[in-house]
Parts: sequence; structure tokens; C-alpha cells
Amino acid sequence: MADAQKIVDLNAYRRTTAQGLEATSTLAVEVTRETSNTKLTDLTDLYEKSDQENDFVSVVTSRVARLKQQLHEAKLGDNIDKDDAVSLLKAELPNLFALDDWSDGSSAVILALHHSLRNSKGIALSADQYFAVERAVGRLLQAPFLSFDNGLDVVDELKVAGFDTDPEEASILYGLLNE
Amino acid sequence: MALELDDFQIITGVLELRYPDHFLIWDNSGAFWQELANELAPLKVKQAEPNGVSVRIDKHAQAALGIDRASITVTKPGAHCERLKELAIKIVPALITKVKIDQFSRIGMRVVFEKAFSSREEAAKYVFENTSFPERKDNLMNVSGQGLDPELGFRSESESKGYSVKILARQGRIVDFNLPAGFEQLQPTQEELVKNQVLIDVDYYVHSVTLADQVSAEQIVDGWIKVIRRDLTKVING
Repeated sequence: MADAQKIVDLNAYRRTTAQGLEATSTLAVEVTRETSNTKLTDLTDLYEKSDQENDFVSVVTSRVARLKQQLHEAKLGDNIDKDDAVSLLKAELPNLFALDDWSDGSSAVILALHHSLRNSKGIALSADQYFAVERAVGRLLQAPFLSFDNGLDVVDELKVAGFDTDPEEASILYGLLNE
Repeated sequence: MALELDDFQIITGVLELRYPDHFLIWDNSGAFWQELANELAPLKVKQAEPNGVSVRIDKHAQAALGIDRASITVTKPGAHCERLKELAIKIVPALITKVKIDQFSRIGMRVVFEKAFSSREEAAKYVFENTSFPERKDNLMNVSGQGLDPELGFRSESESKGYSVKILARQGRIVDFNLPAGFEQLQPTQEELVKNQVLIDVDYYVHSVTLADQVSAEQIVDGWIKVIRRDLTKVING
């Protein structure tokens, strides 16, 4: 490097004010304690798992995680694998709903999943439907305290995928009311 | 000798939630405070500025809402921060639904434990004897004699979580002790208004991005105070 290139113009590091050049410079990199952490918090970072198996966080991080994993793995398998994974989910949903600590939004998602799968009457799910179910379970796993509005967004995704998310009995009621 | 947390009582509990600058507080702050006023009436405004409002909830509790953070501060919150939890259950959901905070950059719980002593020297001695305070030698930095008001602090962090602990001995004075007219004979002496105490100030936090839909204030306060009570002496005693 030529010697001329080694010359640093200190004024380039000084802030210009109306009165002229300010004495302060920013030659050193500023270090602050606030760092921009972009890592997404894991549930186990936020909540302490208790020794009890039925503890809410333990259930979410073990049983819901297992259901999500099964749905994910079956996606790569054949229709029988997918059907098995969906059947397991179907059997587990009433137990999940019985837990106390879900938010209103998460309860709405569990209920919608329950009715969606019941109303499909054992017919194999389409790819869109399977994806919507997996996504809904993933949302419960990631954020079990969904606000009601965000929960309804997930329910809407199930509806868009072609599910009937209301209880079967409700359609009879709608029919009677519309008569 | 090892420090025992059972000798201490919690004098302050704080739950602080930080978020990226949230300009909607200028629109939604009123709705947030009104909802809390309906639930926790009567609220008394302590300070109100464009970038933040702080409110007194009762004699022992106050809450603040700012452009980048909100906090709940409770003095004498209970052995397991029960009062802090009661307030957090009401305030945090309102923060999410009314102010429309959808993610937090840091959630922290700060708890201050206190043990009272009869003299300043005794308090200092307790810190020297029960913590890993570095060995003191006379005349270092021109300080000699029995050390007073020692203070020891440290921090440890992982990618998502962290804690900082500060242990200190100090002498404080009760300044706002006013008796009603006619009871002047009960006025304590100046010596009685002096407090010699050892404080352990713990800040336990998650500093990764937390979605609002992941937050249950009840479970956070409940779980974190258990963690603090379980591990704090191990952190200090090694």
C-alpha cells in the first residue's frame, strides 16, 4: 500500500454541526448491551417443565410435538401412513382439549381440528387438507397461547382447505333456522 | 458458610416486557389503561408523557407502558410473587390485545430479596463471609479497615436466556415516615429509621424473540420464581 493511502482523514469520522466540526468522533465501534437477537424463543426456554407428566408445558412439548412429528414423517410415506398419523391425532384431540391452560384461540383451533376430522368421516385427506392439519398442529406446538383472532386465522386456513370446522349438529341447526 | 435464601424475604418483584419500538402505543395506550382501570380500579396516573405512562395501581404496585417496554413493579409481592402474578395475568393480555404487541424482544423478571441486620458492619460481614467475594487486602486502591457496603455482581447468558445477580450490603434510611397529627410521641428516633440490609437483586430473562402467542404471564411468573428460588443459592454458593 502506498504511504499516501495510509493517511486517514479524521474529519470523515467527525459529525458536522451548524457550528462546524464536532470534537467527538466514532473511531471506535460502539458496543451496547442490547443485541438484536433474532432467535425464536423455544417453549422450553420460557416455561419450566415440571416432574408431572400431565403438566401443561410437558404435554405441549412432548405429546403435541410427537403428533406433529408423526404428521411430518407420514407426509413422506404412503396414504396408509398418513391415515395412521391422522387417526392418532383424532384420538388425542379430546384429551388435549381437556387441558386447562390453552388460550381461547388455541382451544378454538383444537375444536376446529376435532370437528374437521370427524366431519371428513374417514375419507382420506387431500394434500391441501393434510398440509392445513399439519400446519395447525405446528401452530399449537409453537404458540399454545394463541389469541382468539390468531386462532380464527388458523381455523380459516382449515376451512379454505375444504374442511367443515363446525360440529355436525350445527349444520342441522343451521338448516332448521334457514327454513 | 453458605448463604440460605430462607433467611431472606422478597421486597420487590418486577416483570418487564420489551418490544421493538411500537408506535401504536400513541393510539392504543388509552384503551389499554381504560381496560386496566375497569379491572383494577382505582388507578392513579403518576407520570404521563408521549413516550410513556406510569400508573399507580395501589400502595404496593405500579405499572408502566412505554414505546419499547412495559413493566409491572410490586413491593412486598409475596414469597412466590403472588401479587405480581395476579397483576401480570390482567396486564400482559391487555398489552397484547389492546396495544397489539405481537412479539417481545426480552422478557425479564427481577426479584429483590432482603435480609435485615442490626448494623452496617454486620451486613457487610455477612456478604464477605457468605459469598465468593474476592479476598480483600488492606490499602489496595487506598481502602483499608473493615470493608463496608460491599457489592458483588455477575451475569451469565446463553443464546436465549440469561440471569444477572447482584449481592450488596447497604445502609438505607426510611424517608417518608409521617405520623398523623396527635401521634407524634410514636415518632421513631433517627437510629430507628436507619435500615441495614443485605440485598440480592436477581434479573432472570429470555432475550430471544418471543411471540405474543407464546406468552402466559401466569406460567412465566410461577415458573420463573420457582427457578430463582431453586437455583439462586447454588449460583451464589457455587
